[in-house]
Amino acid sequence: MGHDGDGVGGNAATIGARELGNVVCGGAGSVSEARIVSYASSPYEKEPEHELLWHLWTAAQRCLERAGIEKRDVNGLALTSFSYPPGNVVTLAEHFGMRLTWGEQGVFGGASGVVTVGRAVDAIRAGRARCVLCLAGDVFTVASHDSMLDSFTPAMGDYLAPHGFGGANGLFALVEQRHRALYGTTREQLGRVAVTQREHALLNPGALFQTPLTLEDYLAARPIAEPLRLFDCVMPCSGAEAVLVVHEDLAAATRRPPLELRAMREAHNAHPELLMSLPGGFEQYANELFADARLGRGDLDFVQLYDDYPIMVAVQLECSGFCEEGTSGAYLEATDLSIHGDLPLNTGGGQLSCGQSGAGGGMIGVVEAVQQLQHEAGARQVADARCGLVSGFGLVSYGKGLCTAGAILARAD
Amino acid sequence: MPVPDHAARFQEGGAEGRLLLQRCVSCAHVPGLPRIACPRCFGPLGWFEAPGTGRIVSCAILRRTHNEQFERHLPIVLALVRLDAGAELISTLVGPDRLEAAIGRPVDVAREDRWSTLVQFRLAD
Ligand SMILES: [Zn+2]
Repeated sequence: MGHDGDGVGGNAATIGARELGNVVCGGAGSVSEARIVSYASSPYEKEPEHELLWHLWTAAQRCLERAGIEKRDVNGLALTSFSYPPGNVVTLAEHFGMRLTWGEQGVFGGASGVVTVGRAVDAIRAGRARCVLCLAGDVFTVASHDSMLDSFTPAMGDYLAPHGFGGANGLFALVEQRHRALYGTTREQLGRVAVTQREHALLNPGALFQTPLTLEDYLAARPIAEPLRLFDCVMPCSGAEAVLVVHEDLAAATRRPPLELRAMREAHNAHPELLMSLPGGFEQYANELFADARLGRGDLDFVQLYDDYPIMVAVQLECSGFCEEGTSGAYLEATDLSIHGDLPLNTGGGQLSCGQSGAGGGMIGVVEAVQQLQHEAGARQVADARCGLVSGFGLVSYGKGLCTAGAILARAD
Repeated sequence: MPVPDHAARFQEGGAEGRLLLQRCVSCAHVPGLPRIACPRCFGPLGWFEAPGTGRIVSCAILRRTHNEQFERHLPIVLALVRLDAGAELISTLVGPDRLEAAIGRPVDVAREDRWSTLVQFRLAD
């Protein structure tokens, strides 16, 4: 982005420097800037009531409507969906009647939401597209999701499915058990993630889980893949998420609060020699991510961390530098993760309490971040939110998720 | 003639209860999962029958499975095993004492009570 200023410090100071930077380098010949201006979700369904294309259309339609953008103005499309193949981003464009100058298929599992939004920003900066709709969603039930995992990657089909391995639950049970053995992490500590996020979900009418969850409920729940119990596991469901990224000239016309992608980083197969790695890959770029954004961890107003399991939230807190390796248990105990707390976490309830709409689970954090930064989160609004972190994690394969991505979003006004 | 398939070779060994692993011809690295080439040096790999001994690095007890074919084997004990041959594998433990699985316990390839088409393990003494 090439603006100067002293960066890390109070948000207001940093954003002030940003505006100055725009004046200095905003003349002819400067790089086009991208703005995130809108978001939407389709209604989540526990049992499928609609087909996938309905969910994608509904999220897309609501997202465009919110920005006052016509479908014909969209010339870039990004899609992530596990249940749409053999369809892909181009067949979806045909289905929707969109003429594209740029397309992107999210192939990074739950990291795709963050990655495709990053790619969309790149495309707009490069002049390859002016108006990019980023979609992610699936139509799943618990059963259809688990069956899909039997052949999710070549290695899972060849070497895990013949063991009746319990899907992702089995693999992340191994991760949690290892973390507990190495660092003494307790179920009570991890439970704080599930319980706090449920409190947030109760303030989010879009979340599928609308009953309170206590720590006692969490600890006593039905065992699924021990040490994992019911409330450690996301519930696969149906739904879609949408985010709109546009050229700054178009952004002004939408009259929406403009947001900028301050930084985005990704890491895939970060630990080639480890079968199961407790560093999830986030540690590969965490410092660069904050340096690129010229923000410190303490500047963030919230974090939307990929939450397929509480243990992965704990791992990310360590790898992203919020606490030292192995200390996430104590950190979770000492930190208020609520919307009024020290580090508001997954402020819409996250996947754990909204449901995991397949690939939509990798975009739900981006959508929640955009909604918070545009100050439209209603009862769960984080006061005067100016910037936040979103992470993605996915393509679970033999022993680990292969993809991670992180993004820092901020108000651009 | 069928095209050689590196995954099938491992699976065929498993069907016979033998632990077939690969070793790099150039650098002697033993990748756990079968591959077409060495993930360290990109050289070719050869097969060998590995001793089936190792230790549990992590384990989990599956109380449910989405695949009804495996329901009669519940509870299924999933384990990440560090093999003495130098690689790690994810597998399942069999035998009546499998629920006593714990991190650090020694295991060996199972000859009895097997139900998977792949190599399974049992707790060793
Ligand atoms: Zn080699």
